[in-house]
Amino acid sequence: MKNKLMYLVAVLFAACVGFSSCGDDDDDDIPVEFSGTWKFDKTHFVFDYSEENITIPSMDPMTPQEITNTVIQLGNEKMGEYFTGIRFDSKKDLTILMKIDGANKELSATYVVQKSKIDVTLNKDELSVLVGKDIPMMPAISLIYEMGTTDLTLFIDKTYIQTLLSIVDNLDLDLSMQEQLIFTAAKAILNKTTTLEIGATLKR
Amino acid sequence: MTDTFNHLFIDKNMRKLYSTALLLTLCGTLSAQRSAVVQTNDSTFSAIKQLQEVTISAEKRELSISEIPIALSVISGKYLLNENNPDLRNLSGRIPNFYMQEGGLKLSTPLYVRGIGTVSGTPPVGLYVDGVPVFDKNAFIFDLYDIKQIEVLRGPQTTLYGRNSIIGLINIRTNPPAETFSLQAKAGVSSYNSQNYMLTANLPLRDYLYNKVSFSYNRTDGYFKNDFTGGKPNKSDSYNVRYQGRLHTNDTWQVTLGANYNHSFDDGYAYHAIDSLKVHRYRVNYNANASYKRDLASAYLNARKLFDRTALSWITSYSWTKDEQELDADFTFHDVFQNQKESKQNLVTQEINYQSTASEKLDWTIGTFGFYKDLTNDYLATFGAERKLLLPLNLDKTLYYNNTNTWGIAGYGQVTLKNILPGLFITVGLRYDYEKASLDYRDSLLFHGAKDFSGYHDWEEDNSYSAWLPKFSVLKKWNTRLSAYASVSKGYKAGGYNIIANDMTSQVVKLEYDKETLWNYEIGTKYFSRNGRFNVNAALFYIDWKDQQIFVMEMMGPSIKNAGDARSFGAEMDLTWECLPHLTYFLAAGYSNSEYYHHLTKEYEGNRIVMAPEFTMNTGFSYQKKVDISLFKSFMASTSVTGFGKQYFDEANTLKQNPYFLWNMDFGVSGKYIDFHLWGKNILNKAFFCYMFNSPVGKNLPEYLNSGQSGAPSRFGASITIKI
Repeated sequence: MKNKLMYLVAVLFAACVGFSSCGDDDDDDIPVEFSGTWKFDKTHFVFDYSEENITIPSMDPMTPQEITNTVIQLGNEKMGEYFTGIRFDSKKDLTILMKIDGANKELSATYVVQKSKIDVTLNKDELSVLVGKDIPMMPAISLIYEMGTTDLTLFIDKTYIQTLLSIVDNLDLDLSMQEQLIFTAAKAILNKTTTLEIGATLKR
Repeated sequence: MTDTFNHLFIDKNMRKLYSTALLLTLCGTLSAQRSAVVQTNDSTFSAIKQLQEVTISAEKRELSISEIPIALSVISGKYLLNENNPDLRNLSGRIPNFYMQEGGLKLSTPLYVRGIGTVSGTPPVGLYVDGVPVFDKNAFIFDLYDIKQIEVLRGPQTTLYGRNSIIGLINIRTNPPAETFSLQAKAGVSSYNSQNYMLTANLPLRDYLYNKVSFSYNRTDGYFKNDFTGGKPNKSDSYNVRYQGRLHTNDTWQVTLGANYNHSFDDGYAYHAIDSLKVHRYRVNYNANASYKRDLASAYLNARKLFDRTALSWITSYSWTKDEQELDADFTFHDVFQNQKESKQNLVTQEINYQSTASEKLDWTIGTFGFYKDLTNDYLATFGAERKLLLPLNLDKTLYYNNTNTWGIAGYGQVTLKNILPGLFITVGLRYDYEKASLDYRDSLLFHGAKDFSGYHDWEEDNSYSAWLPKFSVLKKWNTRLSAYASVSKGYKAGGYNIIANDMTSQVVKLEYDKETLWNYEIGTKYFSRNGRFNVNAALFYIDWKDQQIFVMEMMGPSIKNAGDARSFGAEMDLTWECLPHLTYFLAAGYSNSEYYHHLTKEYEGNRIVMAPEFTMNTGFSYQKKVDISLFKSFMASTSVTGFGKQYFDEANTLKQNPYFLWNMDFGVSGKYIDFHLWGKNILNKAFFCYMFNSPVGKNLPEYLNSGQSGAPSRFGASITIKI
């Protein structure tokens, strides 16, 4: 009787402690699937303004359409020279494909997707090597994405740009008079902007 | 009159005079009694015996202390002294390894048991009042009056009580409505122009509905003054209305119902730079309004049907809470940052429990528990002209909306095999707890110079949390006076969502924090001497704590994160000894060594856990005797020292409070129609800090980097109770 009792106690105790090794199910929540390589196709720029003309220091007034055309043209030329595409390696990792001085370069990053937002965090060490300068910390860049049948558009919007500008505004940088004028003008233009999206469209 | 009263109680010389008078009264009374001894039943001898015979309901059935394989303390409502309107914070230090920060607002009070706890967020200890759960910390601080007894169980109670009882349970039982008419009125005054009033009436209706109605009101000027407002003190007041009913149908039914409404208002936070508080303990200096207003309403129905050998219990409760907080969030006189928060909550709980009642060999209990909680927070952060001292963004305001719906369901069972061998009891319990939380969150920013807010985050998500919660214990009972036990149990606290997003450089919302779990291993013993003059309860424990939820003050506001893993080990003892007739020595002591062994920040590994004091202690003497003097039939006098060990207030262990001890005294006379009570707390006016933190503005204002709150000064009070 005593041995049976000891056996019962030992079994109950083992069962109880055994719970401590049970893992709990974790939710494997991946909102959106990206796969493969996406190549840069064209600049994405959407700009709406609350007035007919935009006044930029040292320049003639321009219409919103003129600014849009200029930015898209410049972007297609310049962005395409340096940025060739993105490759999604897994549900958390991606690689940014670039061309610097004619040579293909890759920069690793991690990403998190939430609804139509994607946070991309560049690999700090690789970026330090690329720019030749130690980078102490690397915050995430928040982008909005729109997925089409064969294309993927990634961009930052007006609110995000305002947030970045307000960070710069708070830094008390030692700007020259000209730089201060441009910065102030940029803030003023942004305040009157109704829609602003800057980014790129990529094709699979 | 107010000035005179304050002068009477606050002046240092008067304080010494008053405590000397209290001491002389105590000694004089003792001396008088030695020559006029009246042998009665109502002596300390009976107090230990009463403790041995008291029944504990926290295990969801009536058991004696020696039958429960859990470290626990019981405080009778008669001994809830020390202040005119005590609340749970008065238990701090009186119960081994139980620490609850005194002072601060009712919004959230840090609570630690055995080194485990939280500064803010979901409570680590379950709180039940007459079988009804109190879920949130903002409802934990309320006046404890008309209390029958308070049971404090240490160690996880999640098998029977589920979420949020990760390291303990406080089970409060109020006095039930009486079968005859009675009326009790109490009035009290104490330091800092504090007044409290209480009225309780037992109103039986025929012989089937016994009613009790009670009302209490408290107000105080407080002891902190704000230099910025010219020395305005932080007043507070509150009132409470309570109804309890007991239906008497026949002996097989027990039905109780109740409703409660509480309103309170606290003016001001008491945080300031540590260096300044060391010079002027109770002077703060901030430029914006700070207050906390709270309204709580609740109702419950508790029905129990007794069968031949079983009983079925049904407990339904509903509570509604609304609170508003205004805060100068930088706690300085600079115009940096203020916030306003308004929250509303509805909570419904339902428990059904079926258990055996009359068995010599087997006690079993099965039950189910469900709840639904709907919590909405609206939060506005306003940034002032000097916002650059804190904020990297040039914002005027940020507006947040957070609605979290949570529902949960659990099933539990517990079996105790009794006298498998003579005196050997084995208890096995298991619970499955599941809950799902749904978040609806959005915020928007008002950039400096802009006219309208810009929407920033907009997110909805669901998350579920579940756990199996076992417990196992072996208890050996040699007789009704001596028992020893060993137990293993799992504790669990569900995950959830933070109120606001702190990272404004990311448009992805990351508000979730994960659940935390722990395992508690414990051995203990309980002993009552044969002559009823000595009692000791002692325990040793080891706790392994995973994914600890910690509270962090970030740029935009508070945040809860899973920091890592910690362990805690220690010992506890409750001792009561009637060393002379009517004179009892008591000691409640706890030691805990708690540290992180895994942390998000590697350098914090090996550091002590935030806020948990290394030891707690309450020791002293109590004298109780029946007398026959005019209107008074009994008196009580007590002197005690409450002590707390070393505490760290940050994970880096740079903010430290060394051990400190507080001297307290109580004196009371009681009769059939009248009670009179005098008390003194922290009589020697010991200076200490009850809270410290690293202020977010500290990087730019180094004098504020280490900020905190001074502990309460000496207080004295008196009350009179008329009973009809």
